[in-house]
Amino acid sequence: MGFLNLSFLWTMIMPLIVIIYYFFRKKYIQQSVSSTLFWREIMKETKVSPYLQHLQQNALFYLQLFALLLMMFVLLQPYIKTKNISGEQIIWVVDTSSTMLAKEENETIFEKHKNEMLALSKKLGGKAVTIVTVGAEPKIVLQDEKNRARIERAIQQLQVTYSHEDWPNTMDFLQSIIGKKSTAVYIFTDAIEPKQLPKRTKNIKWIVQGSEKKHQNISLQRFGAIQSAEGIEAIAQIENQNPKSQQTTLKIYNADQEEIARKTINLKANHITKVRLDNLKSTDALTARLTANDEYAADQSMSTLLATDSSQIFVDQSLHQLISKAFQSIDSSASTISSNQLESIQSKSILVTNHTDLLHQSKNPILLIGRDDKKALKVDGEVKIIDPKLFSYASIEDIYVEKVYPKVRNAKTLVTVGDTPLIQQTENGHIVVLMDLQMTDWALHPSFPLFLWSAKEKLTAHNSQLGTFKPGEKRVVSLPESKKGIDIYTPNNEYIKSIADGGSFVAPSKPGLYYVKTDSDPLYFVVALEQQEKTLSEGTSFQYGELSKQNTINKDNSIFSTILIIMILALLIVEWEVQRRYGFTN
Amino acid sequence: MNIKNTILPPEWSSKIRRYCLQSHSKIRGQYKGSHRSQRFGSSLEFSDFREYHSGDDVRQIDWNVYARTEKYYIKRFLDEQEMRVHILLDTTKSMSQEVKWMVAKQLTVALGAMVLNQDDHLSFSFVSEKNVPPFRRKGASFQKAFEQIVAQLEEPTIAGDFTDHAMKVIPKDLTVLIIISDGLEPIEKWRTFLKQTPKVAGDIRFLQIQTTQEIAPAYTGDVELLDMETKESLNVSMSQTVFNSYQQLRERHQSQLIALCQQYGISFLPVNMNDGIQYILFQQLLKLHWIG
Repeated sequence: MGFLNLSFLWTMIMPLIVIIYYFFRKKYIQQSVSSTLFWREIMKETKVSPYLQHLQQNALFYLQLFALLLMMFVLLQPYIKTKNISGEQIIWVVDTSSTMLAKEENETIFEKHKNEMLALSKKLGGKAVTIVTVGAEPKIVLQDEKNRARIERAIQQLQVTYSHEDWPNTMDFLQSIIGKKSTAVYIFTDAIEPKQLPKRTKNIKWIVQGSEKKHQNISLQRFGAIQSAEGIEAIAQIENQNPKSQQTTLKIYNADQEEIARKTINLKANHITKVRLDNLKSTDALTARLTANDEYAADQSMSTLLATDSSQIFVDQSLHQLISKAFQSIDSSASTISSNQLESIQSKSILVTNHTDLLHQSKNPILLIGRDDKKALKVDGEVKIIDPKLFSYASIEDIYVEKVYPKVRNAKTLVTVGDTPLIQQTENGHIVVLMDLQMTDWALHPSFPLFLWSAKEKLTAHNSQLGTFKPGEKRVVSLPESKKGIDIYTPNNEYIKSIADGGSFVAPSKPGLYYVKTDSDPLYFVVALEQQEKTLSEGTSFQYGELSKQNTINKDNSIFSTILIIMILALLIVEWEVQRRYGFTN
Repeated sequence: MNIKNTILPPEWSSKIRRYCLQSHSKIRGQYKGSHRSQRFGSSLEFSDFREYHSGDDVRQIDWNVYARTEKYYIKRFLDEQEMRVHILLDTTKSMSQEVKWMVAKQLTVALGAMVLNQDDHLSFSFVSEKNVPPFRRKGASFQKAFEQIVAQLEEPTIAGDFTDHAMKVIPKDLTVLIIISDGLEPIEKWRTFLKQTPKVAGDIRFLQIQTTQEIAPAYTGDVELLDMETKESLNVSMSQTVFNSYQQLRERHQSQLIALCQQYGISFLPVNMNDGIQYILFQQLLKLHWIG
């Protein structure tokens, strides 16, 4: 035997009250008076009709009977059929993709869905809700929450994340949450095909709230620019998704958000138009913006970073082959050249060599592995990282080092072996490894290629761009060191957020151009809308699947029980009063 | 024994002796008494002179006047007659409250003593299940006997209503009828009773005996009220509203009683037992000229 609802044990108080009540029942003090002539008349006033009198005399009996009947009624667990949400478990799946920002009348689809959710939250009838947002990955916002205030707060805080909704992943995720319980899944999206929903319908009811409107949309599909001898050349691809031809203006802005070009374009209905702009002034990034009358604004602007010369890696032939192999696996453009050619290499390319003099001569960033001017000495001791910035991904403390070259002057020690420096960084930013590969087993450790990658990133970190990201994308980037932490701003110098280091870089969710404030030049990066998010599709609202019968009945007995309990308590009080006034009438 | 036979403190008897019952009623007894009568008689009280007419008693001629005027005058004196006083004591159980019963008996004795002291005819009766012959005596010598009878009255045992049986025990041709009762019976019963009293007495006095508890009951909480007379019990939860309606009902009853007494020419005096016999006798009764 078990109890389903031990929490109702508190109702033990009720019989206790009755018992106490009988203990302390009214005691009449006997008092003899000469005549009850007047008293009788006072009492007569309350004994008007015979029915009332009967009720009065038997009030206790009736009240107790009524209380017992109510008890029985509570035990029967009455419920009313209301238009409440059915299912044992309720899951609200909220699409937070960019297309949810398409306008419907005065509000966006997203806002409309939010209001719908708020309305639904009032009909929950004490059931738990799980809210899942769908973006690049499904995310649980609320799990099995019953508190209406908390549900409403969570709904209010929902925001569009701009990333494309990943339905297959979400469906798998949902299946794992649903389990075997009967579940009502509400999908708040703009458009989803019934075939995108799982086949399994046992105990699951899918309720899809789509947007049935065909939206007006003009979309800036692609935008790119290259630096040429005559200036910047930009190409834009604009798609008119409307069945009507339309005119629009394309404006181009530079990195400082100054308008540098403008063009009026006639767009044919359901047609893609290509626009080419030449001889633009040199800048770090370009932003194209369309001024068109449509209902979806997120796809009307795009930013692009100007392709700068990518830094190439040149590896000295005299170095161990493993090094050049490793660099080639990191960057296919890495090439091996002879030591003599190294000096003629253009700036910004990374040189990997053992020529110590290059440290002072070359302007290129240098990764020095071994020294050609000194002899290596035997070393004994454990490898110890002093400055971990190059080793955030893999520690090298487990490698063995046999010999080590003497240290270079004016350089910061990053790693030591015993007391001797092993890896250093010069004031110019060059990285010096004071050993040859033959002197260590490092090449056998996974930390070796990771170190090379880190070194390469470190040496190229002085670029002016970070690249292009998806909304809210997490990617490890290498950022210049900054004592104050790293802040992200829009080109209008609006503060967005701060991050600790390149390892925890998360792109902002709103598409557009951003920059990371550094001590020197700003580092630009672009958050671009995914291509799928640039097309609005017409959706439908439909329901699909069915809950097993016993669960389709909405048991909304919570209010009932509360009311009944309150009634019983009120009854007890009334009984008390009746007892107090009339006593036992038998 | 001595204590049981006396109700009034002995030192009072001299004080009581100074007072007598006052009445303007013309109905008198046929026997000689100490009260002046409207009729002419043989008392020492001089009334007037009247010329002699043939047929008058020659013994009544005032010879002194004849000597001076040579005319026959008859000197007339007022007659002195007794009063017939009846005291009717309510002995139903409603009177059996200790204070009430005691003071009621004391009042009876005091009034009776006054009457006997004046050489008037006193009769005393109460409603009883047994047929007790009423007390009828005249003369101061019966004071002790009367006091003893009253003192030996048992605690009231009569269950019925006083008004139902009262008429049966009242003799006729009374000068004064004193009714001592608490008046706690329905007004209709009082009406039937009081309606008949003027037939038997010229001067009727209703002494209503009350207690403070009846005037303003001081019960609190839940009380089971037990009617002494009917043994009926009634559960009452005291509250201000209950108290108020009690007061209203009581006042209505009182005013009805007063109206009834006015209608039948009965003097009505409600007294509070808790005021004490002394206050009632020598203040209230005196003030109303019931005694003098």
